[in-house]
Amino acid sequence: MTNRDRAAGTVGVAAGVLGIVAGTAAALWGHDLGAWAGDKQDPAPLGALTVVLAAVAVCVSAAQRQAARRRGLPPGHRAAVAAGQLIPALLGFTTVGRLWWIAGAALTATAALTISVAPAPLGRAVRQHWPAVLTSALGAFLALAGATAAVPLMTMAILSGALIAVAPWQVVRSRRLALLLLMAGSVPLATLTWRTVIMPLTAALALVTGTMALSHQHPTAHRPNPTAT
Amino acid sequence: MLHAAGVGALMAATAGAGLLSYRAYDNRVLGADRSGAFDGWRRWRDEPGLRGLVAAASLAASPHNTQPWSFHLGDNHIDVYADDARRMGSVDPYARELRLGLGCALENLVLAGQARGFDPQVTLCPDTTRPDLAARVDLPSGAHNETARYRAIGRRHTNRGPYRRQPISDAILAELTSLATGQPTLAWITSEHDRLAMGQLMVEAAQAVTADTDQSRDGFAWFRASADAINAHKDGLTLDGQGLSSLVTAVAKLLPSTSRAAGDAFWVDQTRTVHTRTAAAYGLILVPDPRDPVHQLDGGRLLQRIHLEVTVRGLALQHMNQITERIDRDLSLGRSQTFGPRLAALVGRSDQQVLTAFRLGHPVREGRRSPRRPAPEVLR
Repeated sequence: MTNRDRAAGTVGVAAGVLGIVAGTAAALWGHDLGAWAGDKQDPAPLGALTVVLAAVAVCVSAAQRQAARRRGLPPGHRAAVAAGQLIPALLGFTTVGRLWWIAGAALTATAALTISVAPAPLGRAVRQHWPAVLTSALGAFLALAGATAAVPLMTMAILSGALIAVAPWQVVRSRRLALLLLMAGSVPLATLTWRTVIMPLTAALALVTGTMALSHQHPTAHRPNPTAT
Repeated sequence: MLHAAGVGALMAATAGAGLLSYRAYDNRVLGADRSGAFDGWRRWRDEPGLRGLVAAASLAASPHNTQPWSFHLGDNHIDVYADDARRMGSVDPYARELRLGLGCALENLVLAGQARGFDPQVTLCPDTTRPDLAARVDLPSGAHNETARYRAIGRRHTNRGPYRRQPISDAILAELTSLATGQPTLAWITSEHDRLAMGQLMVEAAQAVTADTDQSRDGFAWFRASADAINAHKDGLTLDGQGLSSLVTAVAKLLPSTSRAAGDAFWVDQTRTVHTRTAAAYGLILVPDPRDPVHQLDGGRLLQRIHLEVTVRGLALQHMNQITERIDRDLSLGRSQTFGPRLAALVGRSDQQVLTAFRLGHPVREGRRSPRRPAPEVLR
């Protein structure tokens, strides 16, 4: 199992680095690369976004390699690693065109490999924490919906999305902190963007699932279980 | 059972939120005018030399935002060409609207020339062997003259939204009328009785355009329903330019793209419930012969001059050409005139005909930017 995690981590790091190169190329020479960079009107910011996405994939894959050398990945961490590989892999296909094809395909395969190492415990972990998983996904959606806004609002949307995404997982530290993060991430953004329809609805949904997550999760559920890989 | 249903509903709602979030990102519910297709509005003063004049000209009004122009830069002159590939077919069989757009571009070009220290001299249709050459603008040195209308170039937008129930003062109408010196001339429809009659004619003409498959198709071809289409073409009509509230615009962008029939129905409905119902006044540009290219170009210059002056004064304007589109359509098909006599009766001038029409008012909300091809893309 650890060998497959090590292999997935290695491929993930390599694919992520390739993605960083692809994003950098699109950011610097996107207009000259034409269809290879997706024929985007604004390749520079999309290239920069790709670099960030690929960096996330590199980080989680590197963490996966390190964990493989030690005691293996707990199910919750495995789910996070798989998400950190799969979400950038899929989003990258919409940002820099053909430049992403190899990196994206490799990261998708890596995510599949990561999941295949221990699908049953991973599935149990997701089922156990499903409100938190949904809340984190909704946080990511908010960041995505705000990604085209003017810089101040885009920054706020990304920060709000991040707060919502991490909030339910902070319950082990403090339920009050988790609730504060959830409210801080959802209420101001929903108020400011009520005219967009989708953002207040998503934020409201995140409040519902997030509140469920806070009352649903037990602090001990987050402690790593070395035997469950 | 109930728990499973609740979990399923939340998962479905989350999946729906994901799909709509991607749609919001892909169709730019937020930051609609931040893409490169709108750079012209932000950078039009930054272009160096004669390209700066072209950048200003490129922001002019044009039918369905077709931008039917291209420019050739000489040492001391700029030639303005018509791009017939951008004429709207059955909607504009005599290139009336195309040349109106060229006239609008010419007016911006002249204002930008004056602002940059030239004394622009315009010759319309200078070469009879070159019908696509609409005008030559010679640019001898002159005094720097940056007018309020020049500064308004980057703020002028067609406003298709509702206008307030507030009449336009006679003083403003008189000042706008004074912008017409000689031919073409300007007429106003301001009384409630005449506005109702004009509005009825506008609605009927809109219905006739949509009932005419060719005109409907040729008009709809310039509707850009997605952010990708806007960025690819950098022209045409957009959802953001329809004058809808932010909320309704967001919903429209999240929903699937509309069909031609739905778009036509929407336009007729807007014409009936918003455009004609909230118009404080209608303006008509009159010329002796609306199919004469010189009159068309001159009319376009006056139209742009009025629109810029209206912008300076914080008022709103929307071009409304459906009546003249039907008049030209009937004429091109050799049919008896449906709208011509009724419009002529409203105007009451036997020596002049309507070249183009627009509505005027105090805006409820600001007009939005339309996509533009930048200066390098319109040079030849």
